[in-house]
Amino acid sequence: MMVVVAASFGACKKALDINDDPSRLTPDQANLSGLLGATIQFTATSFFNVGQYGNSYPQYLAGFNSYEANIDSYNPYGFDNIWESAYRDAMPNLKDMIDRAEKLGAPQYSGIGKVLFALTLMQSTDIWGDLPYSQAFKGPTVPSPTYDAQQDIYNTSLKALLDGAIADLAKPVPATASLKVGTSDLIFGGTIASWQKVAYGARARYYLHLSKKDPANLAKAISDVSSAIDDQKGAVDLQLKYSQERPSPWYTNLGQPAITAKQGRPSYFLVNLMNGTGYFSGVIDPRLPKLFDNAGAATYIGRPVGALSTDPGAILANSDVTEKTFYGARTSPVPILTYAEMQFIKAEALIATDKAGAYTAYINGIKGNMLKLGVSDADIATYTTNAVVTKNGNITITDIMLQKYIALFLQMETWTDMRRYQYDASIYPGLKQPNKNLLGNVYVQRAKYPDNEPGRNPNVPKIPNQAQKIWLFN
Amino acid sequence: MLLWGTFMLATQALAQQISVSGKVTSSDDLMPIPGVSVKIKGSSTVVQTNTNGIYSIKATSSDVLVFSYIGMVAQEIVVGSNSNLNVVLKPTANNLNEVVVTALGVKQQKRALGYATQEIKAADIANTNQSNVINALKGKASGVQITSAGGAAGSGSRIQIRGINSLNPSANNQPLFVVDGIPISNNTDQLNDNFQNTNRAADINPDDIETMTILKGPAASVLYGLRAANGAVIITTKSGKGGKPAFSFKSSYSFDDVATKPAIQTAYGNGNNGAYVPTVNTWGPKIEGIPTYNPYDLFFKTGHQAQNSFTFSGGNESATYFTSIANSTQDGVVPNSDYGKTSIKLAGTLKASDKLKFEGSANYINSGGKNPRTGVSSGTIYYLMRSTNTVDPRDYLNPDGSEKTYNASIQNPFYFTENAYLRDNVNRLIGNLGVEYKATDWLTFNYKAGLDHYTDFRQVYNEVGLLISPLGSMTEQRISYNEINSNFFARASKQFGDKWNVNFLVGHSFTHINGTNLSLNGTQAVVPNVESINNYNVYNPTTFPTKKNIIGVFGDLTVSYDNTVFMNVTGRNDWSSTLPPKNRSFFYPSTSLSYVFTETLGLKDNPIFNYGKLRASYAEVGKDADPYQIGEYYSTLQAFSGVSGVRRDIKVGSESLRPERTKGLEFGGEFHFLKNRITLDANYAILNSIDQIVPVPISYASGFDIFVTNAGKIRNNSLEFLLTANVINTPEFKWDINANWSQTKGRVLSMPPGVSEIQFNPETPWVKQIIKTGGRPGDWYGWPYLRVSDPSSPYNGQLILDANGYPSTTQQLSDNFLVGNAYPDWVGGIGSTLNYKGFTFSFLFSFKKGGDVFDIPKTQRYTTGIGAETQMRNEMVIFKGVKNTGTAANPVYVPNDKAALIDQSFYNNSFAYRLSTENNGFQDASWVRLQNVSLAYELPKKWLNKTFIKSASLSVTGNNLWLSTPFNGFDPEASAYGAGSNSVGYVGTGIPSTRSVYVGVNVNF
Repeated sequence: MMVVVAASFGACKKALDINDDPSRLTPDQANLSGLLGATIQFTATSFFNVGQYGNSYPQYLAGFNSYEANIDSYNPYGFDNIWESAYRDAMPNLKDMIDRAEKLGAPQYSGIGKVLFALTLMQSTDIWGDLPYSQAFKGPTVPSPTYDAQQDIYNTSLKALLDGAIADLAKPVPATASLKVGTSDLIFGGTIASWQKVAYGARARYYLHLSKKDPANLAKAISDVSSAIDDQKGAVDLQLKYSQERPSPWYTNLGQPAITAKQGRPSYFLVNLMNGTGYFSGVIDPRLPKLFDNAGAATYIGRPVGALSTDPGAILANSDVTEKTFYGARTSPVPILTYAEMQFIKAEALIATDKAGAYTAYINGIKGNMLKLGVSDADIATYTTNAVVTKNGNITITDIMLQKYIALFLQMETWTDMRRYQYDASIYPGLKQPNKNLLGNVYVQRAKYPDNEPGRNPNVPKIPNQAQKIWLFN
Repeated sequence: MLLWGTFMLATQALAQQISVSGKVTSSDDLMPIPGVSVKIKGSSTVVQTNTNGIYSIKATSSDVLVFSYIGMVAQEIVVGSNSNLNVVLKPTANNLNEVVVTALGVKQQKRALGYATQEIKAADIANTNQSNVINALKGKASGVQITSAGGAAGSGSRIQIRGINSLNPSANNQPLFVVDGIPISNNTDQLNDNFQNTNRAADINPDDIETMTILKGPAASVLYGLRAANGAVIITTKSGKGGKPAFSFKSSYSFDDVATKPAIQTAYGNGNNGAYVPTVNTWGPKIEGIPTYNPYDLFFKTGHQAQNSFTFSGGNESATYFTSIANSTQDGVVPNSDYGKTSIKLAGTLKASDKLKFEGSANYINSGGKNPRTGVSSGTIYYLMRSTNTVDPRDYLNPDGSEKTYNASIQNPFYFTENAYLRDNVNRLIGNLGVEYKATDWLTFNYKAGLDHYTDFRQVYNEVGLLISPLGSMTEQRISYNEINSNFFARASKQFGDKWNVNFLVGHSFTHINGTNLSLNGTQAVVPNVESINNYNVYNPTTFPTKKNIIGVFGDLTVSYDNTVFMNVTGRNDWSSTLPPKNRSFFYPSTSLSYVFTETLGLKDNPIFNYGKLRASYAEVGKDADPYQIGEYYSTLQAFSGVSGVRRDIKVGSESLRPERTKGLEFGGEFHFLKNRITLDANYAILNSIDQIVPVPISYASGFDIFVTNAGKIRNNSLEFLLTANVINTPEFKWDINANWSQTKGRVLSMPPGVSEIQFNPETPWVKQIIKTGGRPGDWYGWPYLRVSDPSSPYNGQLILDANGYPSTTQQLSDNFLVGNAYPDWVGGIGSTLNYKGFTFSFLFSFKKGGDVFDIPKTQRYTTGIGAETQMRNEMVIFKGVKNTGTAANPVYVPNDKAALIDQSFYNNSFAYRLSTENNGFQDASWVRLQNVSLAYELPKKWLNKTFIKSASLSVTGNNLWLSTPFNGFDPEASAYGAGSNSVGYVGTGIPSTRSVYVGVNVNF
């Protein structure tokens, strides 16, 4: 008996030291290149997730089937899916990558990390307002981070990230191969010059957001645009292109032919801007067949927002996002920051001071978007010379914002634009509140905080409803 | 107290010694009893009967022989001139010296136990015809809650003793299963919420079971260590007996159907807002002159179970054997579902010498079947719940074999069932080998090692074109589980003087568990209708290996005085590989006391009150973590355009994780009246679970989702009663009644720091179970309708209607209100058995009071307008309640007079995101059910005299034949999240529970 016991104790330590999971990596085994591949995917997923249901708010899509008169009718919505992909997936891993890169001396990794972080954080704060940042991502030592005021996130945190990104990306590339950005850069394959343009572009978006708070930011935005994404065909656009094996989330969500019960259809307001019945009266936009599929009908008709299928007009809608359309295709990209947006930022920033400069940027923005979508040169020429579009050079902020609205289809940046102008009927003529509006008779101003958060974090601000404005639009 | 007979040689040879021999049999069945101790009174000479019940002893004519056997009344006989003394022993009148099997297979007198146990006998298990042994315990065991995952073929069941003691939503709160002294797996390898996977204890052949003992508290199970922290179910299997080979054959066949179904309306047909449209809804025009269909009645069919088992056992003086072969097949109540199980068991004992004894058994099991996919927002039952009443659901195929639907957002339940399913196939081997060496008459060594190995091969198939899988998908999963247990113990038992008895046990145990779980998921089928994992374009493989070792040493000391007072102290130290090295060794003690006070008071022969025992115990059990919980890990992602990413895992474990502790204090008593005709067992237990290892959900903004740490405290108070009454006891007619009642109240005493609440299954957004300090496990939170809450107001408690005359809810988005609790206030059972000549009639009612459940699919019946509740429509209604004519801050309530239209929109809105619980399928699921009723007829022996048949019986059994509940829906017993989940109270998404009628025949020869 003693022998058995002694032998057991002898084998004891060996038998007990078996608690390392062989199927996963230790922190030491994780590397920068792997983290970059993952964080780029998480960032792109976040920019899809924010729009998946959120696109009802800028009225790109109207709810359909089980989503009819649902989120588009302002049923409380917490954007839980972007909370997950941004706060749980993208940002912690971006922070991890930035920290490792700074420690190891890999400034391009930290620069890319900061620009992706800034874009994700900016998108998030535009939805929710106050958010955890300064106390966030510290692991279980701070399980319930406090919420920073949106003012501080904009004035301090985003500024530091964007300035830091531009500075880091300008630093010399290290000689060590493991510190150089390479093939795991799913967007530019390691071309740092493109990332620099993206970083300036991100800061231009940032300054534009703050232009109502301080008009001096307009000049800064214009200046950043001059160093930002400059390829009219979209070669330097920040976007993740999906593949046959890993199809675009818009394909999976709306595009694929097997989906017979789509959750959303292009809205009445959007389609009208392009089919000649809306603001650009009588002009048939050549982007219509690129963006929508009307199954060969003579005209394109959108669906009223917040409508039940029995509501007037709902049944007339004939346009969908399908695999035959630009964003619904299997290998389509999820855009995050594009050339067209740069030009529209410039146009908006110049409109009050330099009408000619604004007009040039306006036309460039339209052309850039049309080229991206594959509109023929002839069609582009026809459209961009139509006086209803050009106003003979005498365009207004309304033209700029509506063209930007079309060009940024499915991007939630548009919701920020619309709230910057508080859904102004002179900027967005023809825009109507949802047929069924659960907020009463106002437009939606913000997201509800995600369902996931209140139980885990007592610091979540209590907001009465989604009609309450966030700081940026106050 | 531990009756270990000893062989002694006669020490003195007296002149008048003669050889006395004979046979000892039982008055019960006249079968020989092996192992009866035959002792010469006043001397130390003892012999035992052999396997044929034969003994032989040398004695003088004046000697008195004492025949004693556990559970039998001892007999004293003067030798006189008899050289042949046959003795018939009678069982002790009623349980006075009842023996129960406790930890490590040790048999103990029940009177010595200082804690609550309950034994279920083979006959009570066989009686139910349940193929899953856990289901056989329904309504019988006090303080034990059995929840089956529904009526799917081979569906799993969950067993929980005295409430949950963990804050961890996925913690294993189920007791340890021990078969013949060696633990086995009762895992439910839950694939996901879409299937009601089988719990592995269901693999056991119920006909192999001799007894099941439920050790309820930690004191009972301290010798199994940390894995028995939730109690233990100790199964002792049948073994061979000496004498002629015995054969038995049992066969049964069942008729199963879904008896309890939600009511539908048949006044209005398919359509919207009163007009016909081929929509998912049943808000169409009044049905006139067209046939209606009840989808629920048409979809479910009569299922069948066929069970056959055959046993063969026997032996001689030195060896016994037991073999069994059992097969059961089941054809489910929904199309395309089946389950089958085959078990082969061999067991034997070998007495190599008087001191050395070997035993071993091997059990091979093959089980598995096929079940359709179900779920919360898609699946067979989901689609069934949405089916309309004017379309025949049986007409679902186009001539080309494609699905015929009336609307694109719904799938036909028949079609879906045939095209989305899980197959599984389990191969399992459970075996053990033991050796016992009796060194001296007071010292025994025992060693036993056991293996439980199974593989589960699963295929989940979703055909191309389903709403859930437009491009088709398939998963092939291979699970393997390996558990090796080694137990060694030495036991000393010695009597000091007449009255003192000491038992001491020390032991060592080693447990090794390792598992693999490899799964390959294929998406985007190349060709439709090909059920092969080779048929896909995109693959994602994953593997989840686990490995853990536990080493334990333990000691157990029992001292008894005069068979009246029993005191027991135990201690155990475990070392677990899953904890950090500095914390992986932990010690936990227990102590218990049992006092049979009627002995002291001399009431033993009192005709009114003849037996009374008081017991008390205090016990601690430590508990380790799951493997690989500590620290941070990174995982690789599925490749994207040839690039694979690396991410940090969202779960992180504390580097200083400590073992969690359960501390139980228990008081109880057992009282027998009217010469044991009435017995009462009462027990009160307080169980504190502290330092729990909880995966605490932390804010995503921390960078993680889950932090595994020690936190939180839950207390459970349980009260249990067991009553048996032997009302009539004549040779011709016997009538027994038994009843049990139990109540468990849990309370959360503290939560992990920084965490205010933990939500269970928050993916069901309408109502949630939330655990918070001061609350109870199972508390439901939601948004009730606003009501006047002002005791001074005459309108207190009335609905507050909004400006349009509709009920309203709170507007604060983050608020949640306590609206109920998922756990019952109390549960109970009343059963009775009547014997008259060859007839045995028994029944068992089970009761559940309270327990609010959330009927997930009720929302489907409401919003689509098929539910009977929605027949009231297109009417103006003045809700009874008040309206506020003042301000929000200073309300002035007057009776409501505003009429509101009840229409499609009203029912839809009432189900809008997270609205009132009253509408969202949240209901009281109290019930009374006829759990089991059985009539058996034992063929008279005289009919069989001339045949080789020893006995034969015929039976008709019904399970779950009658249910009375305020709940509207399917049988509210079936849990939505499967046998592996702690989430109780979510119901209605799986294949519903069935009622069954069995006819059976049982033959022994």
